[in-house]
Amino acid sequence: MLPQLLAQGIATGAVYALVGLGFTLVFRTLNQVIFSQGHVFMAGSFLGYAIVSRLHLGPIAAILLITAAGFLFGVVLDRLAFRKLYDADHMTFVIATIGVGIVLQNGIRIVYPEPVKFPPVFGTELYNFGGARIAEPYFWVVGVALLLVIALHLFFTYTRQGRALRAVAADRVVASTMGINVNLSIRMTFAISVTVAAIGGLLIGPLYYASFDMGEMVGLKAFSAAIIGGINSVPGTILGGVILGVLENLSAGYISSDYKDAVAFAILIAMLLVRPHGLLGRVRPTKV
Amino acid sequence: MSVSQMTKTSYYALVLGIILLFPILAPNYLIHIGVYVAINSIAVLGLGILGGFAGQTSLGQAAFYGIGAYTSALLAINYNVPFWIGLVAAAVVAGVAGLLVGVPTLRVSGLYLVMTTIGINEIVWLFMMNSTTVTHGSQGVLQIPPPMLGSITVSSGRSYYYLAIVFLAMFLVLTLRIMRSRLGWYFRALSDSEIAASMVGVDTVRSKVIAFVISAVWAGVAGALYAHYVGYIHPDNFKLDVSVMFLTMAVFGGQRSVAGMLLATLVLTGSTEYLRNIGEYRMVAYGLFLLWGMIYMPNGIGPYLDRIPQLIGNWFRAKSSKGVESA
Repeated sequence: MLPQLLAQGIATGAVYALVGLGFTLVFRTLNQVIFSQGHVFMAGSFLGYAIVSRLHLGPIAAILLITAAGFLFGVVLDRLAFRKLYDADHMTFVIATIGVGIVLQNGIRIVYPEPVKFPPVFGTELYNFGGARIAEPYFWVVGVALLLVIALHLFFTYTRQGRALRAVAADRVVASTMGINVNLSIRMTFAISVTVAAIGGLLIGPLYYASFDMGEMVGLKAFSAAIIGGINSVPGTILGGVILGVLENLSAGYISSDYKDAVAFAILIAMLLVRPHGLLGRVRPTKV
Repeated sequence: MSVSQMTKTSYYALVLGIILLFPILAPNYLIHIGVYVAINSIAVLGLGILGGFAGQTSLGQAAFYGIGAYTSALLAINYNVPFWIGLVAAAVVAGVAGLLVGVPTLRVSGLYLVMTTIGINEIVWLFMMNSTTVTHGSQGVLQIPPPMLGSITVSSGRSYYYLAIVFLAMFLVLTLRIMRSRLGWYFRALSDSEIAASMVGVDTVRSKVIAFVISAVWAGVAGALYAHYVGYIHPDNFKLDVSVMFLTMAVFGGQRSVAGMLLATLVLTGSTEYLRNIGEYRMVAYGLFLLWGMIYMPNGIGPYLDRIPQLIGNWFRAKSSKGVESA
């Protein structure tokens, strides 16, 4: 039972990490929490469904297409909603992005009132691993998450645009004096955070049914993952996601599945109280 | 009395008259919404004390609202405790819960506090849902008796409306008194700058905990009123989206403006209840309203509302000065 739970936990954790990355990217750049992220993940899942149910694509083509569609979706969301919020204060941003989430959730609900079943894009085979039977989609989830993290890391470290994003995250004013287009960078940040959530949505689709109300819980868990690992740290968010996914599956298996969500939130609260900057996050000193 | 005082008094008299005459003239369905508005207003006022004055934003108000509702409902169902004692018990239990949450969460503020309170809301909801022996779980608590006033049962919408309005008035006065007391100034100092407040001798720790307890008590009383009005409570009545709703009302009201919060509660509760039948479309409109409202009116309606009596006064003064000129 243990290997099975661990494997499932890592796969769940990978999805939390992907969605959580959106929180981390936006938090680093704007110092804001984007509460629509869970619903963006859900909308991404349906976007993926719309793509794979009409076009019969292989897994790689589907992922590439959802990446492009997700990026476009992010640009559209930025144009319609986020652009006016670059300088908003915390409460304004929180409530406005909650509003975006409500619009997405109920907009999807109008189109797809019932949960939908994905076609098996990522295969259906079961593999045996030391007593654990793991379905093929799980490998795709973990593999794609790993690849994405590496790609993001390379992007942030070695490309001009990626370094510009980091400069904006560090200090917006100084970055703008260095000739960086700050607004473009923020727009990129939102688009990337929507893209990773959409990819997560596509990956999780074949494992569960996609439904309009799945965003809230995943969003909260992903945020918890980001907090646990350190919300201003990309590797921290990945670590937090995996820890949360594994602990959640272990507690569902050994304690009670009713309280598996409570475990996640208990860890979150404990972490916030003991070490609010997370496992790998940096402390930001208060300026007086 | 000066002109501005007179307009102010007549403005308040008009509002009071509308509130008192409303149930006599309005159809039952609107009275039903009026009861919700009054109950929600109490919880929102509590949140305003915590958020607007003490500067601590909470997305856990529905948890305390639920704790109050369950306390009073379970006491009434299991032990036949009358409503009035149940209400006090709800206030006390919610207050203690607020204390238990308030003390450890002192360490965090801002966005981290928002997250902590979300976690607390979820945990309380999971407890209500899963501890079937205590809370009846997903069945909910059925057949909660309506309050008794002597030998009269307060069960019709109209009579409950007046009961809820009396409670709202009580808590409104209490809120205003607190805001004008020394404690109220401590709260305001806290929300402006915690460091500066501590330097001028404000006991920031104590003030924050007190604000948390007050906001929880307000929510607990609102919850008890809700439980005995609808007669049936379910954990989903106290989910995170209810907390979001309360916070939205407080923020749209401007948080520091009591009149603004009441008006925001009236508009938001009224519109969402009235448009209940068109479900998804209503929620899309509500979401857009949150988004654009926050973009174009980040400080809520409070600042505009506070200027209305003054604007009316100016209007009168402009007229009278014109009269003097022409004469």
